[in-house]
Amino acid sequence: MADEDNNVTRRDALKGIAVGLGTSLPVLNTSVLAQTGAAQDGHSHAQAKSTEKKAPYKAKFFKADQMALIGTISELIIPTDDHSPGAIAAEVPEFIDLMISESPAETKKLWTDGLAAMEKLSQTKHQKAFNAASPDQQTAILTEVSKNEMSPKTLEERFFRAIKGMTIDGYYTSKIGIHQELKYKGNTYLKEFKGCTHPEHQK
Amino acid sequence: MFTQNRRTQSTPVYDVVIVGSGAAGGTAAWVLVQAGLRVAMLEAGPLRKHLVDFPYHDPFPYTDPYRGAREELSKSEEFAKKYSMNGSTPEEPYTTPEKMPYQWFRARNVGGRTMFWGRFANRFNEDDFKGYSRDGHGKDWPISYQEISPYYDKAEVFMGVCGAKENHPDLPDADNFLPPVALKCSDVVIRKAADKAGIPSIRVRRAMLTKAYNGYPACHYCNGCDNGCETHSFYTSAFRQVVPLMEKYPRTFRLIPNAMAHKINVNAKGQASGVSYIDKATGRERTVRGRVIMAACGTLETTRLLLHSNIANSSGMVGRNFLEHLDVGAQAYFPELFFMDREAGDGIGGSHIVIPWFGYFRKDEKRDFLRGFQIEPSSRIRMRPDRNAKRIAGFGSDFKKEVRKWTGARVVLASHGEMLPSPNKFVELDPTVKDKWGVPALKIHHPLEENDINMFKYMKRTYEEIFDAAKGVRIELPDAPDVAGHSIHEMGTAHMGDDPKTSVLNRFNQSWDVKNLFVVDAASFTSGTHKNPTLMIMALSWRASEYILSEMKKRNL
Ligand SMILES: Cc1cc2nc3c(=O)[nH]c(=O)nc-3n(C[C@H](O)[C@H](O)[C@H](O)COP(=O)(O)OP(=O)(O)OC[C@H]3O[C@@H](n4cnc5c(N)ncnc54)[C@H](O)[C@@H]3O)c2cc1C
Ligand code: SF4
Repeated sequence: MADEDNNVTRRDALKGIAVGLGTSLPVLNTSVLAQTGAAQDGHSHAQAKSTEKKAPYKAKFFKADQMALIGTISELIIPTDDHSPGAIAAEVPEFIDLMISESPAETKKLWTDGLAAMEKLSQTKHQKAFNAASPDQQTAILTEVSKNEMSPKTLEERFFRAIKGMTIDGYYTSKIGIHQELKYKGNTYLKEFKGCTHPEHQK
Repeated sequence: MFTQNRRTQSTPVYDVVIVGSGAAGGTAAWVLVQAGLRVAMLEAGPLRKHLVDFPYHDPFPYTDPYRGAREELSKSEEFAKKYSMNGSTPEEPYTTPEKMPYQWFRARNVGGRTMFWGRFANRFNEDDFKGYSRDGHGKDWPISYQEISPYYDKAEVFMGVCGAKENHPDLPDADNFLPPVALKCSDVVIRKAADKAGIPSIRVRRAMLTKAYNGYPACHYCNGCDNGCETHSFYTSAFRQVVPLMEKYPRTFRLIPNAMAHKINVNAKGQASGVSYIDKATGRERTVRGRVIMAACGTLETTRLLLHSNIANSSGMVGRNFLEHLDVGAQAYFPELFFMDREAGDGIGGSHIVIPWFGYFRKDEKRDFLRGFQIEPSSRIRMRPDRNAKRIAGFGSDFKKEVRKWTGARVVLASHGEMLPSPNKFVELDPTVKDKWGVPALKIHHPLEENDINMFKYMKRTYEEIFDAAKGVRIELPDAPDVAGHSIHEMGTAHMGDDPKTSVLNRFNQSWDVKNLFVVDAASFTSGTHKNPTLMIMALSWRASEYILSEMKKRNL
């Protein structure tokens, strides 16, 4: 998250509150503020800055090789590039594992079958495991299975659609997706609103 | 202390009983209580506790391992459901004739619908008071712009309304705007397109604090007004009127929440004596007595209360003259906004500009409809992609880029158009359906009529002109106006006029029939105009309250 400078803390934002009548609002007495302040601060930007080191993720449903494959494919769908980090940095594989671990058997089967089918495709086409293939080779496979993505038919096509959907869900709800990729600035305390500063819009 | 009721000694008689705590009721209480009157306020909903009964800032989805997929993280819908009703409900139903849907949004909390409102605060102009004189339809108001203007001033100064003097013929300027909010990229681009189409826009006027004001902090641009404002930086009657009054005047102002009024009682002299209500907690009926009764239940509930009480209707006009706004929306993506720089944020959310009725600049144009409309253009900076990323083909950096391209480029144009009164548009008590407490439900009749349909077509053409000027893509134009009621601007069903035979109220919102009964919400409007109603509601309520004070002094009330 770039530019924390424009943020004010919640305390600052609330500091000024008094009432037109010159008394303090009963609802804003300090004990209420103190009580709810802690809970609310959890929602504020301050929390998002926390740099706690997390323990490595232990997959709930997928095996290690499957997790690695999910990582590679989700990263191919939303890669790290010069604009922002990609799916792996945004912990998309972890999100997918958690979601699938609690999904119906049918969904689980689509994922395990789909992953196996991707492996098989890589073996047939490139005689290599998917993760051992070159980026170009991997991309070629994804290009093939994404041909009919709006109306998928084969297992591989349906799997692509599923993993792309979950990658999108995981990425654009992540800290990276929201703040770095889409540069969202709301839902917090900002000091000012500068508005449009772009000469090309003004002309 | 209170005047004692001779019979029961213990029941106080309030100077004024206000039914409803929205913009109308809150403003009346604000004026009357501070002038020293003893006031009771009945409100069908509960008092929401600040910092407790609100979602305020939403948790970011990444604070949840499921990213909000298992359980909705944003509590705004849950809270909205708890404190409002969007449509008919089993407990509080209403009916409509077949194939004539009506979406009625009702609030059930202290503050009424100001807890949910969009905060547009626009003045009527002189023409708005004189529809009949201008085109022979409907009626002229019994008051003029000059008479109401000082009360617009009071309401604006009280709330704090951002804006700027623009000298637009449709929207009179105020003297006391807070600083206007800076334009977003999208506002600049929309304005350019509208200008090209020959349609001037102005900086928006909304009851939002662009600087610290009267002890309330300035807006912190959190983009979450729909959740309620943690710092009270936009006007709600609950937190800017009712709660401060409770705090400062505990002896003379009494809020009675969860009290569903169902009958205004009348004594032998034909005067209102009090209001009967159901205490929703116990289901028991109670009565509160007052020298003056003010109905401020939000137009249609006020109308139901009057009809069920069978009062103030010698003209037969209660429920008639039902006015709404013609709501029409459309959207497109503007290429000039592709890859928009979203760093600045969303400002006060939604529109920072508004397009007032531009017929004034098209004097020679022949139109096949009467009256005008206002366009509220908006383009939001949201947390998530604007276009459904799952519908965008491909993968890789190009895919990411494509998502960025559309995010922030979506422009929505939405209008409120004036509707003419018609004998076909009215509300009545349903002969069979009743609410949970046995009070007849409303039956709402609101067909689309020729003027509405012609205006709708013209709105659509206008949107096309603006979209074309912006070279918009993925244009979505509506086949029909939004369902009736969508504007949440019901008006006119107990309107003021000069003639007791044809109107319900006199020029001071006072019932012609029952002198100590006042209707201060938008039921009192003579015409609907195309302006958002709340500023007018507050101005009328303020004026009626001052009138009550002066009539009480003269012992006329
Ligand atoms: C999403 C949304 C956006 C809006 N945007 C704008 C805008 O930008 N500009 C604008 O001008 N207006 C806007 N409005 C409309 C605005 O909210 C209303 O015009 C305004 O709140 C009306 O005030 P009121 O006091 O007449 O009624 P309400 O605010 O509806 O308050 C009426 C109160 O009376 C209570 N009540 C009803 N019946 C009874 C009864 N029998 N007994 C006791 N209490 C009762 C209700 O529970 C309610 O709390 C918007 C509304 C919504 C919902
Ligand atoms: S954007 Fe401003 S007015 Fe709206 S909730 Fe946030 S601080 Fe309050």
